[in-house]
Amino acid sequence: MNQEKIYEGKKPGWCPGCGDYAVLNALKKALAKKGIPPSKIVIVSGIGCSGKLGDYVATNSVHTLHGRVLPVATAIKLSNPELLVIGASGDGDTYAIGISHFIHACRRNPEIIHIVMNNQVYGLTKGQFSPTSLKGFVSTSTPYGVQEEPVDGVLLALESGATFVARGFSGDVQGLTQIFEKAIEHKGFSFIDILSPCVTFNKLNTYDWFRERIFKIEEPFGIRYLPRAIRFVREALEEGKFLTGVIYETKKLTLSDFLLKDKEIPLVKKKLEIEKEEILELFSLFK
Amino acid sequence: MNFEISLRIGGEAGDGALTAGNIIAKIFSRHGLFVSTYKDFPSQIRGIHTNYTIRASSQKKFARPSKIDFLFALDKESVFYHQHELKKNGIIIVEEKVYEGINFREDLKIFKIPFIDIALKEFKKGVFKNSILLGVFSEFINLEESYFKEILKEIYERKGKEILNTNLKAFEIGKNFVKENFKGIERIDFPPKKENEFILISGNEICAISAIYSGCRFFSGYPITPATEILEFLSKFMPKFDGIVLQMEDEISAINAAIGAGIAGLRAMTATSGPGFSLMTEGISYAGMTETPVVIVDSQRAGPSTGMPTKFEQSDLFHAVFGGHGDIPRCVLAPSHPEEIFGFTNLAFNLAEKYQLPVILLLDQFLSQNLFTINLPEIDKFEIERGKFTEGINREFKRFSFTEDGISNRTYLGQEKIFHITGVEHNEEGNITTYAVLRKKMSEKRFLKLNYLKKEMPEPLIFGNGKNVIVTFGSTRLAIEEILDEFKNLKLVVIRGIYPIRDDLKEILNGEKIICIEQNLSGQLSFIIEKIVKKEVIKILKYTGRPFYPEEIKEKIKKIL
Repeated sequence: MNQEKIYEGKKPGWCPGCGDYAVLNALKKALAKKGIPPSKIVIVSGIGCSGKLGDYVATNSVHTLHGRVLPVATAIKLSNPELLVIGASGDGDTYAIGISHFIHACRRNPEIIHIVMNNQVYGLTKGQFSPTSLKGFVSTSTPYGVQEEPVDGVLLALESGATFVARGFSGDVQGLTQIFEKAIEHKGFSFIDILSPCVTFNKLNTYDWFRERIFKIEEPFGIRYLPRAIRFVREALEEGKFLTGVIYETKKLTLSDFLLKDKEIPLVKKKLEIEKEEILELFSLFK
Repeated sequence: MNFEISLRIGGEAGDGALTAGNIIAKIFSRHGLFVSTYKDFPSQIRGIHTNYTIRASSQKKFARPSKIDFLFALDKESVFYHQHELKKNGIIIVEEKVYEGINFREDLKIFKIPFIDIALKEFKKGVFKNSILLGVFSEFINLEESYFKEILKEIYERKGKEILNTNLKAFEIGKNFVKENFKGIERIDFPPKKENEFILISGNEICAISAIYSGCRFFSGYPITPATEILEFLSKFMPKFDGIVLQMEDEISAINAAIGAGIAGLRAMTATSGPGFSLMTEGISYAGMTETPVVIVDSQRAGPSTGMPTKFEQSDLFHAVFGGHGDIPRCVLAPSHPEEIFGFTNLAFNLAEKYQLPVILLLDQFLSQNLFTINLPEIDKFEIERGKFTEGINREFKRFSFTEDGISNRTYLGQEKIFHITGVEHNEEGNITTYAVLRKKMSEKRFLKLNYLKKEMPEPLIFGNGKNVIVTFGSTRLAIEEILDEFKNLKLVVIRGIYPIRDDLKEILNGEKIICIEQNLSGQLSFIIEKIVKKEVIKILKYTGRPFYPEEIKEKIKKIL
């Protein structure tokens, strides 16, 4: 228990009962269990209630622009592979303004964790619908209900080539902690969509609402066959249910493996100066 | 004696004008002449008129020439558009198939050559036209044939012996055709070879090499004309220096990734043009707020919107200086000559790190994509200066501490003491705040840096000391420089450090008449100059997508003086 203390950041300013508390607690538990020093962790967060996570954990933090968690996090990891880079984002941040970065991050397989605290509503701007809001959802910007199909991050990640895809629920801190531990162990892009109820602006998708619709995946290491994973998730959604746990995991060449020749010394610690001859050699191509 | 020759190759895109033109440019450069090229290409890969101009001079003259000596016309448009630009008694070599039905200028020396038929007869697919063209050209000039063969060998040998031999054969065929069909050609004489250390290189390539030299180890970009060559060059060579190049999904992610690397502690860059530069605006604001060094190359092209992607303009100046929300500390640099690009790129990285802000390096299509003969940069003159970047920090470290010059210590992420970066207003530790007093102090801290940066901004170049002042920026300088001698009362001031503005600029710009020459419609530099000198300036503008000819400027100045 004491171990968790070292990750204690500022006192959270989320609404009482917010699902994000569970995310924060589970994350601290997982980090403590893995014994990763705070100085070697960077939380890269976006804009929204979820974006505050970086403030509430006593690690390095980079608070980016709305939607830009993934380009920033990807670059930081490549610059310094010694760091555990954790993206903290919300459903608006990742599935609306940042959706293209999300798909391309899945394709690139950077060695980072990406957490989406999915509350199906824009909380920080007080209650507009989000890309994951269900059809018919009444919000301040959809007084007549949402017309659009909801995005499912898990399905999208699977289709986009992500190598670790999980779904957690804020009502289950223990399950969430286990997912985080596995995400830390995974080498590649670890994506976790967390059903994290907003108690203030989303009166539809409540803790109880989720408890009736959630079922845990039985395979402890996820489904290893992609088409099967996609089918499972798709079928669950079709029935109005949510599959939780580590849904899919696989091994692929990571972005760091491909780009970094020398993974021993991080780029940020290398000297910048190069030999004059090396530059003259480049110029000699133009003789 | 001054020597000068200009030739143009016109044809359909895909006709090989570029390859042949580049080889001719290389020959001139190796002979010790100063070469500049001018690409007038469409934003289309095949089947539309395109032309390529090569200018060689014993003097360092790099502007687009208004008159040419020699024209290869491989399509009808080449004759229509360009024969009037030939000098009196100029030479036109025209493809036989397009000859019929064209009214040629009477003074021209016309040579009809069936390039297409020769190519089809000798080579199955009718390719190798460019090597035939080179063979033809070699018969019109007094230069060693070995130049041609040497370069053909360098280019084609790595593509296989067969391809090399076929090109050499095509070269001979071109030569022989001229020998057999045209008697008594007066070959153009060249001055004797001048031993040189010249390289023939584009501005984009100089910029990319300088970035590597200057310690840039992270580049993220998105393809866009006319900046793409920077992405391509670095993609190829950066890995040799353990650096990283990422082609991102858009310019938004490109700038944000570069900033991420900057926050992590690397020297990072991105390169783009107008439309991409617009998308990067949020990043300029974020880098300014988080005091993150990042270099943004904006190779300007004709706007607005998609504009004319392959064409020239200088209309991003407002955006570079004023673009973005909020009060953003930034730096804008604009080299005016190919020889300045190496040093200015180096300076961009140094200033970005010393002052911890975004630096925008303004290039343009003319500087970026054309080839220029330059001497090897004096590399020893340029160093890496990291300012207050420190390897280790102690427990007192505050990333945004208040200091005398507004610049705080900076280090890489992952130190014993954690720290926070945020685009939200923050205190010295990087924790968010909306506290009024702190907000004011932090805003002022970020701008305080500019007072010191100002003193390090490159001095303007000054030519002549007349009572009337001409002021310009970027590659427009190249054309003005060539006609300056024709006027007695002029002083040319080339502004290279655009923002922040140096304190001495007002004094330097002091003149009876101030004429601002720039290539956009709205007079973007004029606007800034008027703010500095506090009086109205006379504007000479061009916005056709093609850079000024020196003569054009001469006529316009004459009218004013």
